Amino acid sequence: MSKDLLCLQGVNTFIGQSHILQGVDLRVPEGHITALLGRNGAGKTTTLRSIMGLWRVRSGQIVFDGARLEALPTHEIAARGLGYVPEHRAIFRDLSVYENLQIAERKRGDLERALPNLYALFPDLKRFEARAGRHLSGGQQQMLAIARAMVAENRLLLVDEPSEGLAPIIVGAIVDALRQLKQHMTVLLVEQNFRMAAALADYYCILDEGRVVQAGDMAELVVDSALTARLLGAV
Amino acid sequence: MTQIFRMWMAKQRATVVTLLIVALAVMALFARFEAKVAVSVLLSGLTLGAIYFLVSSGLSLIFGLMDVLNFAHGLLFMAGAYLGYAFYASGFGQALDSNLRFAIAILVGGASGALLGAIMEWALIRPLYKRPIYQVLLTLGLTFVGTEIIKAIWGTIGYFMNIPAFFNANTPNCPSPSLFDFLSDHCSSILILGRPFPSYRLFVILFGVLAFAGMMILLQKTRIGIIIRAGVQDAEMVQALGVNVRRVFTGVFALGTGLAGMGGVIAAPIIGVNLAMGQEFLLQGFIAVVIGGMGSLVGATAGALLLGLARAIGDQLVLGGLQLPWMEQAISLSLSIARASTVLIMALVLLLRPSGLFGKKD
Repeated sequence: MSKDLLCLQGVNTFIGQSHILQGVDLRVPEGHITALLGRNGAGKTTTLRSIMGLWRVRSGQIVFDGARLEALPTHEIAARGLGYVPEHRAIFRDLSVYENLQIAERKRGDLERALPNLYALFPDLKRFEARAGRHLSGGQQQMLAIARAMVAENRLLLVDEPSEGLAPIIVGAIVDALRQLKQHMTVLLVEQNFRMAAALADYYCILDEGRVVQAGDMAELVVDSALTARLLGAV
Repeated sequence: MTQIFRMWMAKQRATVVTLLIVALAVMALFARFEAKVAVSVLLSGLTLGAIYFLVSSGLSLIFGLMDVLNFAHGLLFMAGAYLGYAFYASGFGQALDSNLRFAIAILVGGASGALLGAIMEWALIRPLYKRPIYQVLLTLGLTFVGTEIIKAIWGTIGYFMNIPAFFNANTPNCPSPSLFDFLSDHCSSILILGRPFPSYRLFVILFGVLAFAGMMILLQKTRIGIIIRAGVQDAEMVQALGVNVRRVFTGVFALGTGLAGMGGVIAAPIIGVNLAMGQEFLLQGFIAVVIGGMGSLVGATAGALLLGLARAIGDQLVLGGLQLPWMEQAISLSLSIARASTVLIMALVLLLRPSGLFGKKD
């Protein structure tokens, strides 16, 4: 296994009075895709939001490339090289596709440098460059959300449920895009669709009731149908 | 073709409705009064609308981005007027040419509004972002405290700020026969369809138009504008893209309150500088924002324009009485009814379209 780019140790997060993450330990090796799996309500989205500082961590450590993140404000965490593709995409509906990408620029020239790549990866975005986000289809919005996280020079991408609510053919396009991404980025992927996660990820980590219950190589999990059925339900 | 028209209508419905209301008001005005009176009333409405815009645009931006109902906005409008006046009447100000003195007074009003707004957001409102009720109480409380401070410094009497010399000549050639002539004789009024209209009020309209254009350019054509528009929709996501949203919040708050402060100085030669001006314009500003739709700059502009026109038409009806075709005698109206007309418009808009003409937020 290569060096860990992101490491969570004993992370506890509360939302109101609810203790959601109960001592999560997680390692994300550099240059690979790690899938964060689990049933609904297991704490997957909370884990990503805690990493981004959108939920404050009550205790534990989040270390990214050797530096602690848990006390930093969200914008500083992002500036360290973390891109976030949230559940439900969160694209800016009244902004054009181009403006949605422009806002993600952290250094002058980021967008100019990234644009040819992004348009090659998602040709629809070039075609609808001037169209407002709200007029895009679900698949195009997902592509825009992923592209937006790739504008700045991020080293780690946190992707939350990219296949949610999308038609199978669009899911295929998203899988292709994420596969290409893997060549120059580390990805922590939250995905309910086990087939998609299995097709993409090198490693996995299963959460249950706010705790990590299993982690390892995806290749091993794929062949262990009894384990997947026990931990993830029918897949 | 029909499909395209339908899509265009769906997109531009609010603009079409606003233009329709304005067109109806203008037609009614021209039907009831002589053309020269109607134009004069129209321009008075636009003057008031421009001042309302300077208050409502900031209120709307602040609510749109931060969900803060800033009840202290009227205080900052008033504080801008008082501080601008303080400079205008100071020894340093008196030594300057009246035009330059007035221009600097506008900058002083704007800068003091922006500075006070930034301090208020940073020190007092920021800790209360998750407690909207507390924000309302705080900003209301600040209004009372601020008004008392102004009272302690400047007393309870009002002040009058002279119209700068550029708009205040009274030579035998006055009023100026046209706008073109005004540029050389600087008369206090200009003949419009044979009826004199104060030239300073035309400047107020121009100032409002320029402020609107500046805000639109800022919001549509600059990176900070994109950030503000995105922040209005989803501030959390903007933050997750590496933008320091807190700093943007402070900047927008300062921009909004700065415009209000400037508006106070701009309004001073018309309404004077007094302790009631803050409350009066805050109320009208809020009504304009509610009519236009919370969080929309175009909506705030439309709301301000409609309110200005309603007030001007109402005031004219107070002077001339309301004469309907079946009446032998015109009904005389009180000034309070003219004032209430703006609230009636708001009630009507809320009944028909609760989120306002251009609003997306409830």
